[in-house]
Amino acid sequence: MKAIVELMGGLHALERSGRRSIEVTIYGTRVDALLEEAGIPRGSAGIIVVGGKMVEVDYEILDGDLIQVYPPLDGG
Amino acid sequence: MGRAYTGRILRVELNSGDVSVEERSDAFYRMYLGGKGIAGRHLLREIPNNADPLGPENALVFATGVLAGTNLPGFSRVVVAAKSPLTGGYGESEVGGSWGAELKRAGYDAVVITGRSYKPVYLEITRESAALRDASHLWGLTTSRCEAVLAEGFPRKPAVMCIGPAGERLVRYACIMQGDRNAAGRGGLGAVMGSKNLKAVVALGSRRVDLHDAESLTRIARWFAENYPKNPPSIALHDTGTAGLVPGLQAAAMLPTRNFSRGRFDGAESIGRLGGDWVYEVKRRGCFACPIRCKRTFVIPDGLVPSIDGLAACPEYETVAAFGSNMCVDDPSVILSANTFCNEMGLDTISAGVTMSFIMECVESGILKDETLNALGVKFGNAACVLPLLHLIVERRGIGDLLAEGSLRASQKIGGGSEAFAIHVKGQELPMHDPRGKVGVGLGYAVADHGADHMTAAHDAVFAKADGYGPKTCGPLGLTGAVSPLSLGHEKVRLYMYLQMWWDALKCLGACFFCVAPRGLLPVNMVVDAVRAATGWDYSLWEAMKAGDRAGCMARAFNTLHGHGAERDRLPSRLFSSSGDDGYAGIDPDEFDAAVHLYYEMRGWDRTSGVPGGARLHELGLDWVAEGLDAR
Repeated sequence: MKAIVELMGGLHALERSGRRSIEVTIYGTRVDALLEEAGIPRGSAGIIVVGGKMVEVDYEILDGDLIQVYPPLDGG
Repeated sequence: MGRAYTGRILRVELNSGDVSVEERSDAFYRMYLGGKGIAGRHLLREIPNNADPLGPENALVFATGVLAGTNLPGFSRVVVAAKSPLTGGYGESEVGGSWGAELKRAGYDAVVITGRSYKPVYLEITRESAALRDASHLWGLTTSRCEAVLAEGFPRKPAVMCIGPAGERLVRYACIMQGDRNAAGRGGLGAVMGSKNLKAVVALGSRRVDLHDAESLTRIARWFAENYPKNPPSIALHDTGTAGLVPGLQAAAMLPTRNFSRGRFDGAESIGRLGGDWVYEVKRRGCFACPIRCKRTFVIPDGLVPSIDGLAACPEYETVAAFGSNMCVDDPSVILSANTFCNEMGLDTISAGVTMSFIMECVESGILKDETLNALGVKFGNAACVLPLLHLIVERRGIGDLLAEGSLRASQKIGGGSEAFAIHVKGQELPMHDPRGKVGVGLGYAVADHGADHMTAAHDAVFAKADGYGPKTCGPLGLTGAVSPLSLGHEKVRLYMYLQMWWDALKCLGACFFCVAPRGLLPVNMVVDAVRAATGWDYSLWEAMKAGDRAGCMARAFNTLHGHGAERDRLPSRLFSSSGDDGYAGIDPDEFDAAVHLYYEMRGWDRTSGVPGGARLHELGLDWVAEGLDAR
């Protein structure tokens, strides 16, 4: 299995080793577990997108997913 | 007087050409603080209730915060305010860059300009002198050209606030530019300058800001510089600028599309490239003393899009969406070109874009038949019509003359139901944030003193989770819990009101919301520490919040005296219906109405009329404002 989680909106600044994308190799990993493992506080994830649709933080990652995680979006 | 203030306000009377200095006391600064507080006070005291915003009786104020010109990042912004020709009420816009620092270092905290010059002039402010000079040779110049001509003869580059041809021609949403990308964009303040025959205000300082405790302030500035790289919102701004918001808002179905009728745009990926990797190399620019440098700039070597000396400022998110998704235009080159054109002409990209979306809908619906618009192919999705339409507006030619009045006035002239396509509050067009998915932003649009504005408080999403940025950083404001972005209950009203007071306090301090919690890095209490260090006052968050409340009440009182009642605190009807199958339900009108009136009540304003109550005004030390309202 291979899936990619992209850390958007500067979230890589919180990732343990500064990675902007994380390759996921364990089937069924939940997004929140992955973020915790990467050192990113749960509250820092605002929007999680898979295939153009928003999902919840407990989404289980599937083979081939491209997942984008954004912080809460403010104005600008 | 608090150290770090100059104690001096420059007054310029354009009818007579008199330039003078008002000296101010410690009590004045402690009461009004700076920025919005000083601007609101002068507007309220000096502009007659029936004043024509484009007449000599209007006053124009440029006001800095106490930390302007210091090394603290994000505190050299300027509040520009006048009676707005777009809304007819309190008009305000904030602008970054270096002008605030230069004004402070030239020895002034603010500039108040009244009257109208009989010929084009500019104001030159240095440490040595402040004087009006002939601007006949500058009239008609684009903003970058005007800035370049004005810079000649100075030992180093001065900071310039100037208008372009749009302001000279009194386009009601003309802006004031500071440099090639910083705009006091909203409210038509550029037209106010144009009406006064004032082309530019140039500032060049040389004096260091006098500080009570420079060491402590430097410690805070150093902490900021060391820590912003670990703060995601700060790093995102550095990486992508505000244009980086496009993909996230598209995913969240909150990217205004087709004149706010939908929340997703098929061309989002294409326009989103303006905030990511595109064809051009990116350089970064920033405001005075700020290490984030969020102002991306494209290097244009090929001349395929307009540039100034081979550089083109990357459009901010607002511009990308206003000229992109909201018009269904997916060509980044056209958006970039429109941005450069607007900056050069001195035109607010938000109002220009939304007014153009308005006319596209008028044409497509069949309400408006106009030969010129047909010839240009004005319709959603036609990138080719964007720049020609902008030219018509700036030149006030044909239908452009009507569009230069803004969408509200245009809809009143066109009629036929076109009013429903004019997406505005108080006559000011909506920014590119869809309140159907974050209703606190809608409350902000409705009650904002200067018309629809997305920068009156942090957005709802920041407080969506108890462990999110909002609750984690706003403990000192008493905001520690989660509130649903879709809630319009009392908890949302309270959240919005506290945040708005905090942001009004920051406007009094000339602070950038991208640098201060919850949107930015600097914690709430550290802002107070910085004021203490700069001034030597025993300052507190309590006082800062009161200053914010006071500034908001003065602006509200201004609106009351100038004929704006609760009937102006309304959202466009479109927002009460759905943004499509993949979007959000419309806002509930009854819930919304109740929230607006609860907000009045929480602020100590009359629950029905929204007029600031005498008790609240006296509590804020604004006896003179209470007396003014009583005398109506």
